[in-house]
Amino acid sequence: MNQSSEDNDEKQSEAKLRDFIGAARRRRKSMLIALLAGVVTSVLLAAFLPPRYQSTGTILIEQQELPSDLVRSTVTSYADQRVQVISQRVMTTQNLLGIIRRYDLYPRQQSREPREKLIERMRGDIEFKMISADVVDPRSGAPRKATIAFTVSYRSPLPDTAAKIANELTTLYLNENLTERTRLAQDAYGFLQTEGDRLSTQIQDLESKLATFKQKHYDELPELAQVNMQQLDRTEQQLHDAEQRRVSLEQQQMFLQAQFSQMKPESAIYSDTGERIQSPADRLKALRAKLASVTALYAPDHPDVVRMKREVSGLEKQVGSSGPPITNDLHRALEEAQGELADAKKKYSADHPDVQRLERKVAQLESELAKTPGSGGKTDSPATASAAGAPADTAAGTVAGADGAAKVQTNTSAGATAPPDNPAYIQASAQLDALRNDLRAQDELIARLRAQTAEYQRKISLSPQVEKEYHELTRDYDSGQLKYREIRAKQMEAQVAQNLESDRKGERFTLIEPPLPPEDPVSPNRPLILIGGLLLSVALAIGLAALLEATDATVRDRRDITGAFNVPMLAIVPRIITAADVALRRRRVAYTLATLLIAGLLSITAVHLFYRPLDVLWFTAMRRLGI
Amino acid sequence: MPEHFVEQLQYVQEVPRLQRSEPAPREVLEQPVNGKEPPDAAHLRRIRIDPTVLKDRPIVMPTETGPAAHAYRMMRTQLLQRMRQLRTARQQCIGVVGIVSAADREGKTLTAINLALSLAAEPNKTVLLVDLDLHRPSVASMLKLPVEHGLESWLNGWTSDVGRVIYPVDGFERLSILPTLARVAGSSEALAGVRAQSMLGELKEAESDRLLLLDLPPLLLTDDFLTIASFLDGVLVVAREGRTKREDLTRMRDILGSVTVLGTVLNHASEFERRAY
Repeated sequence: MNQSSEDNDEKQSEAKLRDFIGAARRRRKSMLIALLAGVVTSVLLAAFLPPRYQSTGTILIEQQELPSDLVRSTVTSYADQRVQVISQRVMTTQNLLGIIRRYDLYPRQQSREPREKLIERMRGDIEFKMISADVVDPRSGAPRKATIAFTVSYRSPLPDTAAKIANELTTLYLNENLTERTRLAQDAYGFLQTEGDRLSTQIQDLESKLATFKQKHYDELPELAQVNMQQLDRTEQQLHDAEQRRVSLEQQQMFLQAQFSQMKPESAIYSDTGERIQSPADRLKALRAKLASVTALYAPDHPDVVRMKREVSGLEKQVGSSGPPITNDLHRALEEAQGELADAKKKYSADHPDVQRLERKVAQLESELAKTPGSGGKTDSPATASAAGAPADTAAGTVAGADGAAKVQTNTSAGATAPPDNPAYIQASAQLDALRNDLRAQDELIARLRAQTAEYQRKISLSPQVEKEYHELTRDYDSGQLKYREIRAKQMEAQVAQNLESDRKGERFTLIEPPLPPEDPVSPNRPLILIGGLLLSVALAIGLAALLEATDATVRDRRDITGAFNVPMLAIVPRIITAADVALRRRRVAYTLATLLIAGLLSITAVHLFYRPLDVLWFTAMRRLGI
Repeated sequence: MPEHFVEQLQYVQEVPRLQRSEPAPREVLEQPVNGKEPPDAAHLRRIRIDPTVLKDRPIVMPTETGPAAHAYRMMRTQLLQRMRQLRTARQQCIGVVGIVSAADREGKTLTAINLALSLAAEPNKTVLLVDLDLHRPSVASMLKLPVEHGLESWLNGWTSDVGRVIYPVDGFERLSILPTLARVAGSSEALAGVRAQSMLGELKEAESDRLLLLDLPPLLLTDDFLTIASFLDGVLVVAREGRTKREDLTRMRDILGSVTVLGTVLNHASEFERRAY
């Protein structure tokens, strides 16, 4: 079993091989033609392709000499990135067109082709390559490729042109790099300069604002807050003291007043018996009091009441005015009566005789009180002047003072007929005057102190707000200052970097291999073309044969027939060549040769006349092939 | 027969055929249908194949050596063998072989001629080669036969005796040719006609030893085959390398149907037996 399948396989592979050979034999003519065409073409190409020379310049990218800790450069991109950017700048249409025009490159195409095609052509002839080295990144320890140099080449049919243009390009690269670096450094410096100036004006602005603010809120500044507090304390203390003194003064005054009111301007006259003779005013006062109580007890038409009233009016005429001295007594009596009435009302009904009697008394007192001038209702006891120094008390004090003054005046007017000769009276009067003055002065002092206190308090209350605004302004100012210093520092750094560039101590491009005119052409690789052409021709031939075989639908083999008819092949008859055939073939060959010869001669003549003389071509070919 | 008369006849035969008129001796001699001649008149009627034909045409004489002659010899032997086998199998006479091909210019006529020549060299076998390709008859032109009338004349009614257009060949005792000299319009109808059918039947029955080789028109290009298929005992399929399409072969097979294919021949082969012995 195995053997037969092996045999089958063998047979099959044999058959396949036979097929190939048969096919090759069948198609030998076409294959030969294809091969010949290919070989001829490659030979022609190898011989006549124009040479191209390439000139290369190498530029080394040297690192910055000074350590970057000392001087930091303003150029911060990676070397290869920069090189690419510079490459873009150099290979602009403008630059390339300029070079083309200046050196008259591509003379044939200049007039015919559009500009873009010319540029494309030029770009195709320029080759730009980066040279990297494997380095180990010192920081991360990972291997990395760093660009250390790059080459710029130009290809041209003439070696001298190649060298010239390559030189031109390398110069462009070097110049572009320089201008780029200086420009960057300058830009940095310029930018920082502008920023610095801008900040400077801002700071000046802030300074003036701050000054005006300080001026406006001089006292309210937080710096003075402490002082203000201290002042306030002191003033308050002073105020307290002043008020205290005033209270004592008032007390003195009242005491004195009380005494004074008791005194009479004239000295008291004593009778023989030693009784003091009462002045009519005193008598009047006593009588009034008595009258009041009597009125309460009896009806108004009681003879005692009537008598007393007659006496009172007589005395009143003597004294002059009803006088307020009684007012207080009346007030007291009224109060007393009102109190009694309220009690009675609580105990008894309105019809009770006590209640009625008290009501009558109250009414009488009220009418008496209403009659007396200078009494405007109840007055508070003037004797209490609080140390707190409230304005209301001050007013009461002054009223009391006025009362006291009035009292004094009454006393004075009561005895207007005769000058006062009571020494005590005089002394008391003088003292009272002095006290009055003191009090006035004290009041003024208090008022002033109060105003001061208020002022200090106001200042202190405003202080937080002022503080806030003040801090804001100072903060802006301070930060502005800081920024400004920073910018100026950076500007100075940028200045140094600029110098670094101008002194060529920064990273720089150095031409280590200038482009030289090449001796040997870089292309075409003639042996390669020959061999490659040969191989291609073979491939072409085989391909052609395969194509023809594939498209051939005719019978090619006995197997085709035995496949269709399951009967044995009777015979395989070869192509019978007759003498006529031979003669015919000979004729055909002769004709073909003749045609080829004539065509060849014509084309050679044409080449000689219209393209290049043959001897020139011959020498060119010889030169190209290196003979 | 007077000698001079014979010489005259010979001379007359050698004159270029176009100038010849109807040979009188033909009418004089008795012509049996199956072409059997009285021995004394046989050589009078034999046509000679022009020797220049050998140079110009790829006619292969059986006496030649060379791969082509060898191939035809092989063909002959194999064919006879196959015919014998068939006879044994069918228990009947096998004598009519048609030469067919798919299209034209595939060497069918050439094969027929060369095979006929080869078969005629075999003793005990007589061969009648009939050119039944009435569309483009080429046997006569291929052999440059010096005759004026052929099957077309018989079909047209020039003669009612088909034997008169059957010509024995000089130098090949056992070979006769029934050529067609001109194109016959409506060939399939003519062949299908009663006359032709009966003629063919007679030809077939006439001699048991005689092999009828019929050069038939291209199978795929004409429809004549079907009209005579019933007469055939077998066919020989001829193909030409580089010309016959492979699919033509399959189509031919379909058309042939139940007709026995005795064998196949490949012409213009690039691979053939070159060794000589």
